[in-house]
Amino acid sequence: MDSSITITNVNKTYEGFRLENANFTLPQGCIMGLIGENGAGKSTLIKLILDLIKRDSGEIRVLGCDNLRLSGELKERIGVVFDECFFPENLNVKQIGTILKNIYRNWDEAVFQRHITNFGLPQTKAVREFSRGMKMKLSIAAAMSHGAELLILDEAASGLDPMAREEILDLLRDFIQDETHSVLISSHIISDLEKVCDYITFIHKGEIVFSEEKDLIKERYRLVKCDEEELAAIPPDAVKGVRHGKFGSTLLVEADAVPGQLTSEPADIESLMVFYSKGV
Amino acid sequence: MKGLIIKDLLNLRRQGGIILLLIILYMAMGFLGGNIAMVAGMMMILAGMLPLTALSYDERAKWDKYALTMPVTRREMVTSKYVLGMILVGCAFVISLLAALAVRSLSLQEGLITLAFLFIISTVFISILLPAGFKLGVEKSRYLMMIVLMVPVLVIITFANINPVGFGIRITEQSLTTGAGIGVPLAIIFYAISYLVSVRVYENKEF
Repeated sequence: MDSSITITNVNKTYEGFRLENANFTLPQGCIMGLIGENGAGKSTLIKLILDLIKRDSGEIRVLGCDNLRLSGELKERIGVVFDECFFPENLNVKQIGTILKNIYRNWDEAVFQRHITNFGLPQTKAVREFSRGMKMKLSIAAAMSHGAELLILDEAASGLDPMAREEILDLLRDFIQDETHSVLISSHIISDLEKVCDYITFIHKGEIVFSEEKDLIKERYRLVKCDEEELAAIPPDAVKGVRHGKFGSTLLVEADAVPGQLTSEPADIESLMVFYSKGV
Repeated sequence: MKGLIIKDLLNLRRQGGIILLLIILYMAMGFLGGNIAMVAGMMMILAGMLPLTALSYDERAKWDKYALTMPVTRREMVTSKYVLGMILVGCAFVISLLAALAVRSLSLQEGLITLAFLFIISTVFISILLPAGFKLGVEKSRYLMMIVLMVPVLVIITFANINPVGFGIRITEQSLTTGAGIGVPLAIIFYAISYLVSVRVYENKEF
């Protein structure tokens, strides 16, 4: 299986922030969710992939090519949606269509118009007067109208209502039916990602904690509720996070280290993230 | 790249009404007074300012970050602004020339000399403002614009106070023609250098 994005030992230092030794691979035909708290480095990672910022070291390959040497032809095959809509706010959908038609060689006006109609976006209203949801839908329509094989979405669904988010998840599911397609999506709304993603990459304080198949991750960790006494029975190395409550503690523990007599439940991605972020 | 220029023109169209009104007004005054130097000057200055305005629209929309994910190189982003500048200056030049010929207050040579100097001013204007806009952002460049605008005014005031003959310079049609002949190619070279500087600045920019 070919990979759409491969990141190898990538480093980037800002003042007050450091992305350290990032590694992950997004295989073709998959959706990867990028999760992590605010400021963990999700957007930095995406900007590095798109060469909007320069990496200090490491290697990034996008669609089989070094990302610093992405040709126009390769960029045709990537669709990007950011957390905001970056179209000039005085223009309307029709004008934006005209601009994009003259930028993308593979622009498909019919597909664009179909998305616009499905999303119920007005043709001649200035983008400035769009709601946040409408703006995001416009960006998504644009990203999906030039035959992209790789979609990169950075917090694209945040701030949308559940109906609109579900609509977008459906689009992604459709998109991924073609097995040469792939999606990298970062979001705060982990329940959304849990629904559609095949892979989850968790980034915490500039470090990638894990990047694996979602199902494997969920098998690997369990949540254990126990009191002080029972806690002692668990090898400390296996404990990835603790939350103390009035009636005992909840622990995130590696599945094979959970003592048989303790009851445990499978960890969902959200608690995994919360427990990891808080630490032991 | 064509798409980028279309985007700028569509963006600027919003100011089109006011600009058109200004041109008609000045044009009418020019025709009545039999002198189109004012309208030509106004159009050339506008042509010199509009590329920065286009840049300010991009900045406000954070367009660049998005555009760079499209099949557009960093160099093309810069090139499009310089081509836009050329288109605008070219339009201003042609319209002014036609107006000058229509009014016939000036001989063709006089008209061309006036336009040549206006061409130099607007080209130099763009050459200074665009790299500044890419490097410092539009907000700070606007202050620079005011300074740049003041320089020719100060020069003229100073020259008016001092007798130019004292410096051994006599303003004759001959010297003006020579000045324009040297100034125009120099302005074009300056424009090219400015372009290279902008490309350099833009290649190192992070979004």
